[in-house]
Amino acid sequence: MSAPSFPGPAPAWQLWRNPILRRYLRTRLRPRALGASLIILILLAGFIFTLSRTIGMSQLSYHNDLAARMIAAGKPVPPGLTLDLASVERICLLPLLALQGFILFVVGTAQVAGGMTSEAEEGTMDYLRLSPMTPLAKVLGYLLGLPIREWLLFAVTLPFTAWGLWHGKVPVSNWFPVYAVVLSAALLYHITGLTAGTVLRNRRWTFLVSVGGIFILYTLIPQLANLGLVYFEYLTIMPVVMENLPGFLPLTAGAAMQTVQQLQPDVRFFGLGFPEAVFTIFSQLVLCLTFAVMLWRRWRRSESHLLGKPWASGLAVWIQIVLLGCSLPLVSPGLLFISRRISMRFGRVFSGNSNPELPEAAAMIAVFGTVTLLAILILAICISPSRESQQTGLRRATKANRRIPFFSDEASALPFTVVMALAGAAGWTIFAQKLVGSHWFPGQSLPASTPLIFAAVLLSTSLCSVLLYELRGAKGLFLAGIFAGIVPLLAGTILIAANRDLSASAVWVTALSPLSTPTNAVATLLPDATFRHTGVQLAAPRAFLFWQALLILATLWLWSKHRTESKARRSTTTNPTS
Amino acid sequence: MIPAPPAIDIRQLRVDYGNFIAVDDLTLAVPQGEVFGLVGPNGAGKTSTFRVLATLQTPTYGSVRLAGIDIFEAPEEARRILGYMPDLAPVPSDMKVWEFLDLSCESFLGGNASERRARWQECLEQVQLADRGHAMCRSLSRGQTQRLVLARTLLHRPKVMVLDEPASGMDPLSRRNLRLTLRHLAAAGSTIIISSHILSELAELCTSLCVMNRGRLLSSGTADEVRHALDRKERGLTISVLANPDDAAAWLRSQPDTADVSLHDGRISLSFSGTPDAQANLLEGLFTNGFRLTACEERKSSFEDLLISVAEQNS
Repeated sequence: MSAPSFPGPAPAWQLWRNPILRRYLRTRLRPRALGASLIILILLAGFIFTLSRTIGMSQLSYHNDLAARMIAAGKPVPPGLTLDLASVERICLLPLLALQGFILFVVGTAQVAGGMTSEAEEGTMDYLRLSPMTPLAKVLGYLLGLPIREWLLFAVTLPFTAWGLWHGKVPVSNWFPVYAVVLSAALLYHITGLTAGTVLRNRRWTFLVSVGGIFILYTLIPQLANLGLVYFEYLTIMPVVMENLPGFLPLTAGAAMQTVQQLQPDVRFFGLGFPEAVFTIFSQLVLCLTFAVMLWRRWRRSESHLLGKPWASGLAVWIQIVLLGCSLPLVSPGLLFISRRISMRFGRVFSGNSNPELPEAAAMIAVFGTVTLLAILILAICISPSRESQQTGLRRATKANRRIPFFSDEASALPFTVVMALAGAAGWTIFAQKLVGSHWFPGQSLPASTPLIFAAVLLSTSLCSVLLYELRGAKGLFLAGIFAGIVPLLAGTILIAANRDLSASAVWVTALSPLSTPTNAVATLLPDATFRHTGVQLAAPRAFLFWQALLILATLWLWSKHRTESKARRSTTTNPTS
Repeated sequence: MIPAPPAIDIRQLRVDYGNFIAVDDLTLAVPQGEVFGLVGPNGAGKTSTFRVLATLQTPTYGSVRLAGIDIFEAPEEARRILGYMPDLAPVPSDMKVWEFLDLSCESFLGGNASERRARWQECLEQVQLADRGHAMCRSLSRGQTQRLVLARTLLHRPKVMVLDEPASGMDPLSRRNLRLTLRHLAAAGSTIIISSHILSELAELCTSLCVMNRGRLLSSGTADEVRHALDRKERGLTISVLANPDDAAAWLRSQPDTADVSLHDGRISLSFSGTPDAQANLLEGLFTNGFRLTACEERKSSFEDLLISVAEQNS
């Protein structure tokens, strides 16, 4: 048999020779299927464009007539009445941006997630898994290939946008950052869909999880920026769009908005300053990189954890750094507090006093702790081995006469959970101390035990969850999460709704949930700042300390059980060679 | 001269799914140019072994070398010389036959369009599908799909081919062609490991076989060697006597090493597990007890029977 004379698959950087990308160029751009989408889209974009211009032109004509009549009558023309042709041409830009966002973010992401699951369901993914292409080339092929039709549809809308930008005289410095961030956000959304499609095996679930996940990650979580976690805002395109919005609006409205925006800060990261677009793209790329690592691991070994232990620990530390880096510079000018932002923007009409109050700071500290706890839980479970996986790892290690490698997927995640929890506690403490110790709250300070309490909260909940997962698997953790994590919160809410006199009991019930511990820890440390009801003020610290002590005892019991089981497993797994 | 390493060298391979042992310390060496059959009932560990060989699954432990390449240390290198055809091989529903092959060609071999076209056309001809190049994959029959995936497997001229049930769904003519194609490939130096439930065909096609059960290797060698190794010494005897078959059957039931004695249409069927000497004594005993034999037929267990008995042990 003659040896193959072919050069081998193209390297990952030669995108135009990527077989997976070319496969989707063929199949997703077949004229018959593409034709209908193109007709619908051109009709829709044309309709938006024409309607916007028609309305603008009629307004222009009306305004000009009115202005002419006022001049003829010898009256002064107010500045808001004048409308020029450039303003009219700009009217279509925002509706077109919304349409483009829908195509790329919603339809494109759903296509990526669904396409990936469909490959896995059909079984054809194994063929490409077996090819000698590098994992990076495979990830890039799917990432750019699966949504290729949506990219084309996006491109089809661009001439309408180009007309609006050109004739609307929108400066490059306005539209370039917006479209750069739209493209980076599209890549981020698509890689999120790709990860969901690779991890999940059911097509219906994939669609729900990817679209739902994108809604949570890039719509709900960024709302936490209003509660002090400013960094999350930069995962969306909104900061950049808002910064450049004046350029997209008719000239008079744009000028008004620009005046309001003078009060908005640039991105400040600790002592550094960044343009909004640069910081947003950087933030999105870090997340893209994390998703790419997940995909790379899964392509390399289908049974791999989504993240390695060092990467997950590093990511937990990184989250703390960026949260603090974006938040702390805003404490002193007061821009971290939503009450002060509103009062600065709209005077004292809505907020009354422009100075932030301690309850707002307490709420922000509680939110910081809860988000930190949830992030640690997600990362810790990502790197925890199941019982089966631990057993397999032990057999493998016993066969090779060595211990399970410390960083391998089969090794326990407990040491790394401790690292993540301590990093989280450090970040949380710094945030709380900077906030409470700021000049906005003179005479206020946190007790010296704050770092210990925060560390106890994060360590006990995260370690307990990991121990449960390693001992009882996903089902055990899920049931514990439902009955100990969610049900007490729901029951407490119902108690409060039923009778305000039951508030103290409700606090005792909700405090059972580990998810409420960050809030209760803050209530314990800042009792005057949180609850006004005296009974609740007394109940919150007691309930917190009682349930926290129980949680620590439960964690210690699970730890000893984990050690006993590990020893038993080691003694029953004999060396097959002996 | 240093002898060439085995084309497939599996040592102490173990695959676990939780507490279930799918493959239990399998050690196997297949020399180059062999067509090697892997036989066993469902759950024997064939597909797990194949998925490990195909670098799709990480075993609990063990080593696997393909033409001297450690597939766990250099999986990309191993994939260049490996052709894998999965069981019930799927094809992408949105692609044409030529597009599917061109994608595979590009992802394995690279090269320009005309070189790739020449290669996939050659492979389509090899599996008698040249006239279906522009058909959609979803329009192919089950047998044609199997042939298409076989063509895909041949594209990069693999040195080692791992074929899981390649003949399922094929008509007799296609099966014969498959047999000829595989023989031709083996003659050209490829090593083929193949699993099938059509055991008689496998015995005919393969130069050697191994039988697996419950993750363990029961026997390996040529078809005859495997049959002898697995033979439980039982054979069926059918005896006809001139008169009184009821008495003869009763007498046979009382003899050692006999079982399942039954009488149908005057013919006595039984299974006998004694030595050839004991069998001669049994027949002589019939004669000395006054039963005159008119016919005696011995029936050895077929390959299928042996595997059915292995499967029964499994269940």
